[in-house]
Amino acid sequence: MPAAEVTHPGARALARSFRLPLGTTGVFVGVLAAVCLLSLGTGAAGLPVWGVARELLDSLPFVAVDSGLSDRQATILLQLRLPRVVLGGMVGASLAVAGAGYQGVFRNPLADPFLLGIAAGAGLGASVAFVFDIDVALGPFGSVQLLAFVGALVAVAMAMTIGRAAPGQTASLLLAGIASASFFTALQTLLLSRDITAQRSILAWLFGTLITANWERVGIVGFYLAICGGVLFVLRRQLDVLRVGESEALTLGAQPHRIRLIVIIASSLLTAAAVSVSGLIAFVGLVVPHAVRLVAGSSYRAVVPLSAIGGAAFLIAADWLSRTVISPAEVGIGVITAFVGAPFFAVLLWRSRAGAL
Amino acid sequence: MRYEEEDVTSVTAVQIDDLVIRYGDRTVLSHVSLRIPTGQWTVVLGANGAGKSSLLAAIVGIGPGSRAVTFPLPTTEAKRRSTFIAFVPQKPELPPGMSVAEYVLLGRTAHLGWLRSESKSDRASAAAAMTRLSVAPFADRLLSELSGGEAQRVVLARALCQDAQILVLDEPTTSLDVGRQMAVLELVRELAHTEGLTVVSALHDLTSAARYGDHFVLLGDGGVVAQGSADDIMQPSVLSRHFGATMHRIEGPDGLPVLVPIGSNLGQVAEPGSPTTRAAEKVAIDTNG
Repeated sequence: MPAAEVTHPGARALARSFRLPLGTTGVFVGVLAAVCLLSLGTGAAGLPVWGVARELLDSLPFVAVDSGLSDRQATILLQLRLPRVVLGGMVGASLAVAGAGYQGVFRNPLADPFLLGIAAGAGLGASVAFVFDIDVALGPFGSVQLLAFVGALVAVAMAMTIGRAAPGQTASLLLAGIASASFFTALQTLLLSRDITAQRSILAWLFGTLITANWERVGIVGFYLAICGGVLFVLRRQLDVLRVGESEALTLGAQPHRIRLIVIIASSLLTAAAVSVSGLIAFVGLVVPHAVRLVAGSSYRAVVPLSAIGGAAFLIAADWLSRTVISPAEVGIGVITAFVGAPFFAVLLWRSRAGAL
Repeated sequence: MRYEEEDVTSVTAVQIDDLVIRYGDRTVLSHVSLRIPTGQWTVVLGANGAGKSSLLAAIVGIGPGSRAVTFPLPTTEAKRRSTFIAFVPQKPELPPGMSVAEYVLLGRTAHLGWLRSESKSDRASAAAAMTRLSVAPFADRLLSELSGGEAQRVVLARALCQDAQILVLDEPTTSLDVGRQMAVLELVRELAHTEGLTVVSALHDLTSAARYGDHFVLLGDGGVVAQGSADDIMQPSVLSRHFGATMHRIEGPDGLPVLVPIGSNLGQVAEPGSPTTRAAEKVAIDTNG
C-alpha cells in the first residue's frame, strides 16, 4: 500500500466504507448454526445434538463419520426436521432480503413485504391457485408461485399508487399498504367461504407454517432465493446510491428508475416464493434488516448479505418456538414473529418520528 | 487540445439552444439560448420563480429540457453528463446513517457502472477530495452529526470526487450563516481556479454574486433579460427592474460593488431615495406571490 494512503487521516474511514464487517458476519453465521442445531435436536422424538451434528457431517459427500443415531432417528432428521429447518431458513432469508430491498427503493424505513400488503397480495394469488386447482406451469415457475407473484406485483402497484396521495411521507405508503392488505384479505375470505374443505388447511397456512416442508419445496424456494437474492446482492451498491434520493442519484450517474424496477421485481418474487410455501409470516422483513443496521451500520453492502443470514436464523428460531411453546401442538410462526415484530415496529415508528432513521 | 490555444474565456462549456420549460400550463422558461463560458463562474440571477433552479436542473440533466443542453468541449462531448458535471443541490439529501467517507465515495458512481465497486484508485480520489476540502479529519463521522458548514464542505467533496469539469450549484449558501456563506463561496472560487472548473450557480445575494461571479445571466419574464459582465449586469438600473426592489450600488472598501435594496418598487413606480429598507430576501419572497 502506498505510504500516502496510510498516513491520510481519512484512509481508515475510507477503507471501512461500504464494507461487510467480517467479525459481525462470523457472529451471524455462528448464531445461525447454533439455532439450526437447536431446532434439529428438538421435537417429539428427542435427538442428541452431538449425534445430529455428526449425522449432518456424515451426509456430506466424501465425509464418513458414525453419528450413533438409529436408522429411525436418522430418517426423522434427514426427511422431516432437516427440510423444515432448511426451508425455514430460506423463507426467513427471502423475507428479510425482500424487506431490505423495499426499504432501499422506497427509501422508507418501515417498508416490509407484510406491512405494504405485498404478502397479502401474494397470499391471495396462491389461494386462487389452491382453490381453483389451477395447474399451469411456465418452466420452473409453478402455478402457485406464478399467481403469488402476480398478486405481489398487483399489491406493490396498489401500494405505490395509493401511497402517491402524500408523497415523501413515511406513513402514506404504509397506510396504502394497510388498505390494500385489507382488500386482499377480504377477497381471500370471500374466496374461502365458497370452499369449506379448503378452509382448514388455508387457515393454518394464513398464520404461517412449515409443517408441510419437504425437499421439493426447499428446491422451489432455493431457486428463487439464489436468483433474486443474487440480484439484490449484486445491486447492493446501487441501493446505497439510492439513499440520496432519485434526482441526486441521477446526477451521480446512477439509473434510479431501472434499479427500482429490478429491485421491486426481485423482492416481490422472493416474497411470493416465501408466501407460497409458508403462508403469511409478518415482520421478518422489518425486524431483521433493522437489527442488522443496529449492529453493522446502514450500508446495504452489509444489510443485504447479513439480512439473509439473520433472517434465516430468526425464522428458524421462530419455528422452533412455534413447535415448543405449546408442545405437542403448534402455533403459527406468524404469531411468534408478530409478538417480536409488533413492539419492534412501535419502537421504530417512535424513533423515525424523532428523525433518528 | 484546440481550445487551449484560443482565449479560454471565449470557449463555451455549456450550450443551451431554444430551451423551453413548462410545468402544466405554466411556462417557466421559453426559447432560452445561452452560452456558458469555460473556466469562469457564471451566476444565474432572478427573482423567485424566474426559473433559476429549472435552468440548472436542465443543465445537469434531471429536469425537463435537458435535451436542449449540449456540451461542446472536446473533453466532454458525447460523454455521459454525470462523468463531467457535478451538482450541489440547494438542499442535499444527507442519509443520517451514512459516514462522511461513504458519502464522498458516492461521487465515484458515474465512473463505476452497475456492477463494479470502488477500487483503490477510487478510494485515493475520495481521499484527495476529502483533503482538499479539509473534511478528512472527520471522515468517520455520520452525516447526521455534522454542522451546516461541515455538511456543505462534504457535499462539495463528493462533487470534487466526481472528477467533474463543470460544477453546478443551486443556492449553495441558503442554510448557512454569513461567515460560513463567505467561506463556502471563497472555497468554490479557489476550487474553480486551482482545478480549472467551470462553475454555474444560482445565488440570491446580489453583493456576493457581484463579488464572486465572472459572468452573469439575469432571468425574468420567462427568459434571459440580460447577460454579461459585472459592469453590465450588476447595475441598479438593470437589477431594480427585475427584482421588484430599488437597488443602490456603493463601492466597498476593496473597490468591488456592494448592492443594497433600499425599497420596494412592486406594483408602483419606486420613489428614489425612499428610506424604506427591506431585506432583499423578503422582497424576493414577495415577488413570487
